[in-house]
Amino acid sequence: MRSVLLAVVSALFAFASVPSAQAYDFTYGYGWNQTVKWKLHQSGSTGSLSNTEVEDILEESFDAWGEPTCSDFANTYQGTSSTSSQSHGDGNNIVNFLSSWPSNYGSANGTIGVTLSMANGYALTEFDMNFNEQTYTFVDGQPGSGRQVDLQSVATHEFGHSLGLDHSSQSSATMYASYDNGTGQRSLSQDDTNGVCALYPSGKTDDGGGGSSGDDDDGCTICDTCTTGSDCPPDDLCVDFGIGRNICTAWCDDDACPGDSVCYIVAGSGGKEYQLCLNPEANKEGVCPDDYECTDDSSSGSNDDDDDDQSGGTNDDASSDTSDTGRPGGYAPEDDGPERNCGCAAISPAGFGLPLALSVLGLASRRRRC
Amino acid sequence: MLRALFAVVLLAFVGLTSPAHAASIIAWDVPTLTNESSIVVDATVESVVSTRQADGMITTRVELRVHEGLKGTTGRTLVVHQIGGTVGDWTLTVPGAMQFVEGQRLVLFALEDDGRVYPTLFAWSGFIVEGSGPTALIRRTVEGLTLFDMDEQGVLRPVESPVVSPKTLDALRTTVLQTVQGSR
Repeated sequence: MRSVLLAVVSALFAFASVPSAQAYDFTYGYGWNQTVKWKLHQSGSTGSLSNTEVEDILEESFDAWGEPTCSDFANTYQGTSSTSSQSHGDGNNIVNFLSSWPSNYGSANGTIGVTLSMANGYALTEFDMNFNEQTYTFVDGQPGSGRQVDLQSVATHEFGHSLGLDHSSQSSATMYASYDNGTGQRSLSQDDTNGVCALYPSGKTDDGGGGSSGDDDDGCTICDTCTTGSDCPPDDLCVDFGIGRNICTAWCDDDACPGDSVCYIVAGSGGKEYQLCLNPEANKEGVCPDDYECTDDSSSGSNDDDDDDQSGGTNDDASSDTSDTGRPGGYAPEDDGPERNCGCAAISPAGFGLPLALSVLGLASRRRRC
Repeated sequence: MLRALFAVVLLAFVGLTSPAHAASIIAWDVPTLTNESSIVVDATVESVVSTRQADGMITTRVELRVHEGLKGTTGRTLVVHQIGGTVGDWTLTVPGAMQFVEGQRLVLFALEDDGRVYPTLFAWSGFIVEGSGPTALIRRTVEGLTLFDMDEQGVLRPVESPVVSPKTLDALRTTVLQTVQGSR
């Protein structure tokens, strides 16, 4: 039976506690595990640019993200592909210029481009980038009238998404959510550089980054020190409990928590309750004492896979868990824990009274972690 | 075992990430959105089901219970499809896509093509209704969308100011109906 929390404490949902210099954001909080290999659909562009020009522009756009020395992000252009331009989930990363824009990509008149990405477990496995040539003309340089768009600006922005970056709140950033109608977004701003370096920090090529400050060989990061949510596994949280450091935790439901951590009801403002995974004796010893380290019997699945070919076979096993990503995943249950085999349910905003910042949009896309 | 924790003093969620990317779209106003859509309905989401096909593609089928058709012909039920969704460990993310939630009421602008209905312009084409009655408030999310503006010469430009749109269901409904009447 669930215990009832008596103490209602004031909750401060302090997004302001995120370092103010950070304007970048992550899509999932993780990226690719390997060098991203991508191709241009063989039909190329039917616009004013030759296919060679298009290839050069796209390569330059993607390479911009690999230039910061603080990042290990890397990509390889592999030439053209005959793969279907609307095949998403086949493990191939394709850039398409579509002269017939399909309605399931939104209105042909109103949509300039769209980048779709596939993720499995804790790694990106595929992206497909689509440019609308039915309505728009992609040019190399300052766009003029007649629905022209500078390809390199838009491609650099879209490639940023394909590697796992979300929009930045900084207007000078390539990843800003509005187009500057020029060529300014071709070059990365410092904020963009900070973003790619946080997601693919130098020296972490083999695990693809993700920005985790935790021990990647450890299958459980509960109580690891963090700065932002991106330092914790996807879907997990970075929480300031007022103990002098922020710590990683996770939502729990039906008692499911990773490793030896335990599900606690924690009070928030207005009597709202949150179910969070914490150290087993948090109610006696306090939240995340320094000597606590979450232990996970399943943590043997460290990332030994150095094969950098992600373009094939990524979809061969739809039921695979995340252990092959090297990211903390799987969260194998303890034998004695009730309902720990797959107890994680999608979080209901109503049921948990989540802060406004956890929008329905965000929640609806949360992946189950089971 | 679920336990209660009594000693938490401060609970601050730091830097939650949100799943969104960017679809690059023209930030149409409501009249343009109406003209570019073949269907506009005030409806409630009945069900949302994502499926993964043999080729790996994930699509989502959304069933809506229609309260009022503002443009186009629909029955009492409207089925909308969109690419993307989550099935098991697999997630296909479509930037700025509508996030349909069961029980949610919304005004949806949609396109019909080959017998299938799709949101006209990702999340830009859905106004979530909050409250009831004509003064119910509406809101729209732009998360995941890269917004462009375009002048009459087809020159793309930055979206410099917040896009003005109706604030209430009644105002939105009136704008849509007037646009439909004006285009006849």
